[in-house]
Amino acid sequence: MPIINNTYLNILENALGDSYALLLEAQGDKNIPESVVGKVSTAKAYLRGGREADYGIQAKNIASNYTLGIPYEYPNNGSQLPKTRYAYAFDNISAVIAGKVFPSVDIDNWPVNNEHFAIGGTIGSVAGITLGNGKSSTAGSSSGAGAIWAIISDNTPMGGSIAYSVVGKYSPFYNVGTGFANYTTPPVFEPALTTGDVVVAKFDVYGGTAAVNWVEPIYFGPATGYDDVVIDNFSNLKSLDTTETAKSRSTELKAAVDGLSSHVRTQESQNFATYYKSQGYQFTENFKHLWYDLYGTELSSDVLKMQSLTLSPTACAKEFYAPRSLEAVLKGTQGSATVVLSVYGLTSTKTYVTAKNSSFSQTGHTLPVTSIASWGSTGYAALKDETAGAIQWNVGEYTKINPTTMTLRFLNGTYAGAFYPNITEVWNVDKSTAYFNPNVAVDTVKSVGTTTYYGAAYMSATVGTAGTLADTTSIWIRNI
Amino acid sequence: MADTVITSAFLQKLETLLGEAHDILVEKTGNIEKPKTLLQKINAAKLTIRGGHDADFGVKGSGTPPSITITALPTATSVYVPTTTLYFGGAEKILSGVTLSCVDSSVNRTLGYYSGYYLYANDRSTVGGQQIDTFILPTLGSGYALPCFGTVGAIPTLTQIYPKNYKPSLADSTVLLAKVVVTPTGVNQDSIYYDETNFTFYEGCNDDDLITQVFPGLNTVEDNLLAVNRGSEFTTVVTSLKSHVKANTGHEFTAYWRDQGYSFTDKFRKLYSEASTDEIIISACSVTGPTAGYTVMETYKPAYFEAVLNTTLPAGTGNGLTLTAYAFKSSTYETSLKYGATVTGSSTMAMYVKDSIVTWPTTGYLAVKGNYGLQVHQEVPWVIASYDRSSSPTIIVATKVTGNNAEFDPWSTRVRLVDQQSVYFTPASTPGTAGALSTSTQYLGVARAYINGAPGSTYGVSIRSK
Repeated sequence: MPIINNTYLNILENALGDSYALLLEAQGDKNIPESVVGKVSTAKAYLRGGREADYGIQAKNIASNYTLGIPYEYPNNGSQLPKTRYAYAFDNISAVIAGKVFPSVDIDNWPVNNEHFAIGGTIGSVAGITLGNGKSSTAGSSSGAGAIWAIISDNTPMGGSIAYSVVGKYSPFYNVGTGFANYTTPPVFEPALTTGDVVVAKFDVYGGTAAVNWVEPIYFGPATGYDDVVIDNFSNLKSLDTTETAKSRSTELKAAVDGLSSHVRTQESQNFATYYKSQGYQFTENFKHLWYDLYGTELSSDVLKMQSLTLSPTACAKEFYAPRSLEAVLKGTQGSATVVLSVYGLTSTKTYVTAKNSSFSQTGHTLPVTSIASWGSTGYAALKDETAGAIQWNVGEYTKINPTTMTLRFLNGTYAGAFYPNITEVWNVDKSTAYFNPNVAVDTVKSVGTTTYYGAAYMSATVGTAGTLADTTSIWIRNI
Repeated sequence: MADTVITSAFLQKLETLLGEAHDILVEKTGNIEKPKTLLQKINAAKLTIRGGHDADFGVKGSGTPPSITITALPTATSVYVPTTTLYFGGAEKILSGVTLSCVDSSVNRTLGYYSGYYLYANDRSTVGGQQIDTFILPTLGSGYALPCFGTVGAIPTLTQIYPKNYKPSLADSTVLLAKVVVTPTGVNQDSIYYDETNFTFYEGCNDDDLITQVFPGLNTVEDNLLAVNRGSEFTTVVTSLKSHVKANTGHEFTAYWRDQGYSFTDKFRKLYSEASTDEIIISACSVTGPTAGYTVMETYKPAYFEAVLNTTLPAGTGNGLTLTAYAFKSSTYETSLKYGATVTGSSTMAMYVKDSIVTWPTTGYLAVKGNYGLQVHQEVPWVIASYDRSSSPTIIVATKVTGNNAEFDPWSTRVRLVDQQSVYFTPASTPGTAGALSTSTQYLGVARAYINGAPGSTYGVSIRSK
């Protein structure tokens, strides 16, 4: 009997991969509120005090169970908070973002890296924003303020419409019916024990939608006299938190994947990964993730393809789960020219952009980053752009100005025009060269680089010596 | 520091979080009939190899295993059914390609509501189509007729149209199986659920090696998921909470919070029932005066139930009070309604149920419940009826009990066996007086209860688990 055909394999690996994705989504982590680990971690922090996630809001004078919110004492004019009715202890409120504490007086310098926030949902379109500090944007604009961090409440005090007030130097708030009103000074309010939740939200001004990231506050812990409650319950909550965080959900699907793997080995006398690499079969991302978590190895996939040496290659959609070696495969007839291939592989080193309100130019840009102290003085960098759910790599040559600043000059054809804050990650890449001699056969393989990589951001090819390059030449890069 | 038990406010925060955490795991695990869950996906993978079907219905494809995706139900009221084989309700049927039309003008709005399973397709371009004006419904036995367009009691007629041959294939993305509910105002699209690949009746792989080498692993994963107890991951935390309450109050966790009047979230109740040997005490039902109460909570495990008097009864002959309750038997005595026939306001309903009920008593009482109200989508109470199943293992004739009861709803889904139990409170009984519904039988909740013989309309009884 033959090996399982690709049609059946496709159905099975999709079902298994999607199942694993469901399990991982359920398990989550401490920074994802709507996940098992998120909820258990919150329960633990509630009992212990302090915070568990990388974000939160510390309020003053809170009781053991509390919420912060804007009192419902509003005139229902549907457009704005009165300036004078509320007072808030601005200096006593701080936000924790990405593990650092930011006083609200310093709102201008809050980082816009939302990597550590869970997305709570979209609160609706932003019709237009005029900000108190002179920055402005209109819906759909690609320029402007970029992002605003704000402490907001969704108490719907405005006669049923959602209203947000911004604490800090940006004082507009938004009513879904009437848009933003402008204040040059912030409205004042006093946090009280009302029923609303306070959240830290990031408004994508240019995008026309606002992503609201809900947070759990930083807890002060149980009130006086709660020794028994803590003693009796904390230890097992802590154990549950640790267990759920570390739990391997892939084992729930192991029997099925083992069966598939065993079937291939029995039928073809090769291991599963080797056989399907030889077949050029492309597994789904979810199944590759399941395979890696079960066996610690990565299935081969095509990361870059270049057709006719003139078209821009598409870069690998995601980084590998484990660093792998790369190889180039000639997939089309070549001709009499030597092909010199440059491949930019993702190393294990990356940093993050820290500036707000930045847009890039093709020829050069100064980029503030978290830290590049360990990077070489010059080299190559790839900026990861995840706009619209797709990943695009913008690759350039960098020069280190200081440990937190680089200048970047993009390689031709790699700058997609995206701008901050879509780009947050900056990867250090290695440039490797591979050569295909004239008239080599289709499926000739050449190693790329001398180390392992987390992916390939970009490749380009030139003709090394005189000769004729066939129009059908194409080269693929894949992990091995 | 004096011993302090956790406050209800603090408990609420913890039990809400823990219950939600558990619920996330349970929801993602799902079941074989619930799309986008682990069990649905694993079951589909298993069936791809084994063939056949496991869900309650499916469409038998021909040739290679079909891949069916879901598209939105068209707002238009005509849909085309391709010629195919339908595995439905335990019987294999061949459906000729027809176009179904459910236009409002075809509905006799005085006849109430009816529902059924329908197979239809969105894409008529490749197979053509003709118009008919009724639905395809299974043929019913004589004497039990569904209301239909135009005439009470008549079986709907069907014009058979035979288009060119059509076989569901991998390229086909528009075959759907749905339950459609027709109301006097049109088609209730909220009642429509979408079929997905796992509902397809697979041909099987016809490959010894795949059955031998790949199928067992898939079957093992499915069995493990069906049996997994997600609550067991939380056992230590639940045990801590129970121990804490016992140590600080001297009372058991469930009894202590019952006496505090604390209401747990449903998600935490479910978690508790899986992580612990006992179960949270629930308030199943409250009855005041002649008004019937009905349950909104059921236990996850069978429990003993008691009725507790809330008010003081006057002394003297004739001032006793009788509570009559209809309590749910265990889950083995539950089935679902495939299709029901009744007329609005009628006290009789013919029920065609999914499972054989030969283990049920030949006669007795049942409770039947729908998902929607007659006018809007809202929770409706259980309807209590006496029944007779002697004619068939899957057909029940049910007659509503007189007195305070709800209306039959042909949208009903759950059908459950109930016991009728009574508790008598003597004159001059005081609040807190309790009487067991049964000392030998455990129940899962109370479908409906009412008071007889009350010397007024202000006397109340609560029914709760023990």
